[in-house]
Amino acid sequence: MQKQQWLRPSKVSIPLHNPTTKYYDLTVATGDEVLVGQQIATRYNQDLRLPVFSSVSGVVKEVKSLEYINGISMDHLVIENNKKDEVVKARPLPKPITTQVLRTQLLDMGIQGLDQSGMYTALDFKSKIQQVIVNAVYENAPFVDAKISWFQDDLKALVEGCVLLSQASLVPVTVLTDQRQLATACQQAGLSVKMVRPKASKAWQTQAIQQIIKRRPPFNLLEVGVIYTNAHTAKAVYDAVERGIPVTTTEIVVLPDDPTQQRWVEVKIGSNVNELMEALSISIPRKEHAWFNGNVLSGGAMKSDAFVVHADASTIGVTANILEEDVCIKCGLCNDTCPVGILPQNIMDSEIREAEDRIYDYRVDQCVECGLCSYVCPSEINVLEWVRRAKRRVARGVE
Amino acid sequence: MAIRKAPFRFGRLKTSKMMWLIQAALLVNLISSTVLFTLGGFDGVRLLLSALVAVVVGVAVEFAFYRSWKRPQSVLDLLLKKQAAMIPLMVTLLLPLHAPLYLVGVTTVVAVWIAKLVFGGFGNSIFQNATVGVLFAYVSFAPQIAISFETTPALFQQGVQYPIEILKNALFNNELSGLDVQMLFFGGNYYTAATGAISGAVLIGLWLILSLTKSIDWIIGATYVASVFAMTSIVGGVDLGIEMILTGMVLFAAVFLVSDPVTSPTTRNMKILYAVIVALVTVMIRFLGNNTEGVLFAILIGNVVTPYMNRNARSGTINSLLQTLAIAVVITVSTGFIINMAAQPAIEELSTPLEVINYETS
Repeated sequence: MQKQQWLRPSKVSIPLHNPTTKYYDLTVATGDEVLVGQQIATRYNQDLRLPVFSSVSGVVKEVKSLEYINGISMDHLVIENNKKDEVVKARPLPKPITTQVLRTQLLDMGIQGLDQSGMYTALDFKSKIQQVIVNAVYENAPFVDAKISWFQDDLKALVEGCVLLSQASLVPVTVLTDQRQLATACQQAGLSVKMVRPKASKAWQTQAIQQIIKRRPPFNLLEVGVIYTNAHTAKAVYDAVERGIPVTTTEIVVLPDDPTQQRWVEVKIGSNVNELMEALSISIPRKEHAWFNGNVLSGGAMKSDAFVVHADASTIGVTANILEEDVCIKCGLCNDTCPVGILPQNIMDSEIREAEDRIYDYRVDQCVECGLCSYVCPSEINVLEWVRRAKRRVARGVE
Repeated sequence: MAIRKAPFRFGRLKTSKMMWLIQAALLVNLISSTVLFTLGGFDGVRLLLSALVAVVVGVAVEFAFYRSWKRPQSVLDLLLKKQAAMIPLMVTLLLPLHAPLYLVGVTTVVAVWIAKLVFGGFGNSIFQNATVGVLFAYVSFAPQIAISFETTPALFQQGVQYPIEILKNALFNNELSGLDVQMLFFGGNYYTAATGAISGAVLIGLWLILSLTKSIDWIIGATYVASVFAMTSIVGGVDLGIEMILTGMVLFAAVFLVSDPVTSPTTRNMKILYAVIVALVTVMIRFLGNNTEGVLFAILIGNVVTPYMNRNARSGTINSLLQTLAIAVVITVSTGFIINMAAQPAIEELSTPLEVINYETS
C-alpha cells in the first residue's frame, strides 16, 4: 500500500476543543480570510494556552457542533477552502536555539499536547522531568503492518525532533522502536534506543517504560518525571522549530471492508470523511454500515458519517459487518487481559447498574483506553466504551 | 504497508459458538451415557426420552416467559440463539436414569424458570441454573431419586447401589469401598445417580476439548478436581482421592457446572479461590455431612460467595497469582488435615462419653 495525498478538500472543520481542553476563544470571525497555518482560536487547559491553526486557506464560514468520538459533540470551525494553499509566513527559529526560546516556540505552535490519549503525557517542561520517552512504533501495529517503514519520508524530522525534545527538556530521550533503520539513525544522533516488539496488547508499552524507569509506571507518567510522547509529536517539534510551521496535515489509514480499497493517505486536519471517501473512490456500503474513528484497537464507533479527520486519529473505518453484541457471560477475559490491571468487566457491570461507589473503587482513571478489553471479548461487547462512560462519571464526580 | 488483520473484529471463538460447543458436549455425554447404561444392562434409551421431555419443557417455559414479557421468540430462535436446550440437557444428565418423567419436567421448570428466566435469562443468573433445579429435586423428591423397594423395586432387588452411596457407606464405616476404579473411569456396570457422570473418561475427554477450544475456563475445573483430590488424599490416601473424583458429580461439575462463567468469579485469581471453596464444601459434606453427594450444595455456596469475590477482586499480577496459589494450597492442605482429624473414630469415641454424661444428667 503506497502513501497517497489528498490535500484539497472543499472545506475543513477544525475541532476547537478536545477532551482535554474544554474552553476556547476564537481569534477570527465569520467571513474572515485565513491562510494555511494561521491561528484561528486558542484552547485553554488550566494554565495552558494552546493555539489552533487553520489547515487550509479560505473563508471562515461558521462554528458547527460535530461528533468527535463515541457520541461526544465538539465545536468545529468550518473554513471553506479556496484551494490556493496560501501559507502564513514560516517562522523557523534562528540558530543557536536556547532552551527557553525552544519551549516558547513549541507552545506557540500548539505542540504542547498533540496526543494525550492513553499513557501519553503533555510536553510539560515545567514539571521535574528526568526522562523523555518517544514511542516511535507505528500506532496501528501490529494490525496494520508497517514493514515499508511508515517513517522513511520523515526519518530526519523524527530523529531531529527527538534531539530537540532532549534540548527542550534538558534530559535524555529514549526512543522505542521496532525498526532497525530508525534505531541506527537515533543512535547516531546520540539518542538512547529501546528495541521493542509491538503486540496486540499495549502492555508492551507499559513493560518497555517499566524497564526504562525501573519501576511500575503510574497512569500519569509526569508524576515520576517522565514525558511520554509519540513519533508524530517529535516530527511536529522538528517542523515547528526548523521549518516554523504548525501541524496542518495528518496521516491516516482508511479501512473499508474490501481490502483492495484500503488506503494510506495524508490529509488535511478537519477534512470531511464523506468527501475523503469520495475522493479516494472508496465505496460506502449501501446497506446498514458503521463508522469507526481513532486507531485500530481503541477507535470509537461514530453515530454517522458527519465527522472529520482529527489530528490524533490514525484510522478511519467503515464496515457493513455490523457486529451484534452477545450477552456478557462474565468470562473475565477482559479482566485478565487488561494491561494496567483494572477490571473492565466489573467496571462495565457497575456502570450498567450505575453503582457509583463501586466504580470509584475500580481505579477507572488508570484506563489507557487501549481497547484490548473490547478486542478479546467473545461476546463482541464494546467494553472500552463502558469503561469510558465510567471514566466520565468519575470525572464528573471529581469536579 | 499491508493490512494484517481487519480492525474491530474478533478472531477467536464467539460466545454463541462457545455455547454451541458446550451443548454439543452435553449431547455427546447424553449419547455416550445412553450407550454405557444400555451396555451395563439398564434401560439406557429412557435417558433419551428424559432428555426429550426436559428440552420440550425447557423450550416451552422459555417460549411462554418471553411471550408474557411481550418479547416473543420463535422456538427456533430459542434453540439457536438463546441456548434453550442447554439447561434441560444438564438437568437430564444430573438426574438418575429412573427419575420419573414428571420429575424431569418439574426440575426443568425450576431450573429454567426460577433460576434462569426470573433473573433475566442467559448471562444474568446468580445461581447455576441446572444446579438449582436438581438440588430442588434431590431435596423435595428424595424417594423418587433414591433406589428403594417402593419406587424402584427391580433395581432394589438386583442390589443396585449408587457408587457415591457405596463410597459414603465405606467412609462412614471406615472401610474400603471396593469400587472398581477402572469401571468408574470407563463407565459400564455402575448405576450412577447422575446419568451424565457414568464415565470419567468421557467427561475428561469433553473437558479437554472444551478447554482447548476455550469454550470453558480450564482453570476452574482443573483447580476444583485437583483440590478435591488433594484434600481427599490427605484424609485417606491417593486411592481414596481417585475414587472421590470418579464417583458422583465431581467430574461432571468440573466440566459443566463449576466452570459456568456466568455464576463464577470474573478474575483468574478469584476463579482459583472459588474452585477451592467449592471443593472444600464438597469434601466436607462428603466426609462429615449427611448429604451423600455434596457437589450441588457446594456449587450453590460458591455461587453465593461469587458476588463478594467479584467485589473484592483486584488485578492479576504474577505476584498476586503466586499469593493466590499459596492461599489455595494452604486452604487445601489445612482442610485435608482438619477433615482428617474430625473424621477420626478416636474423636468420635472421645465425644461419646460426654454425650452420655449429659444425657444421664438431664
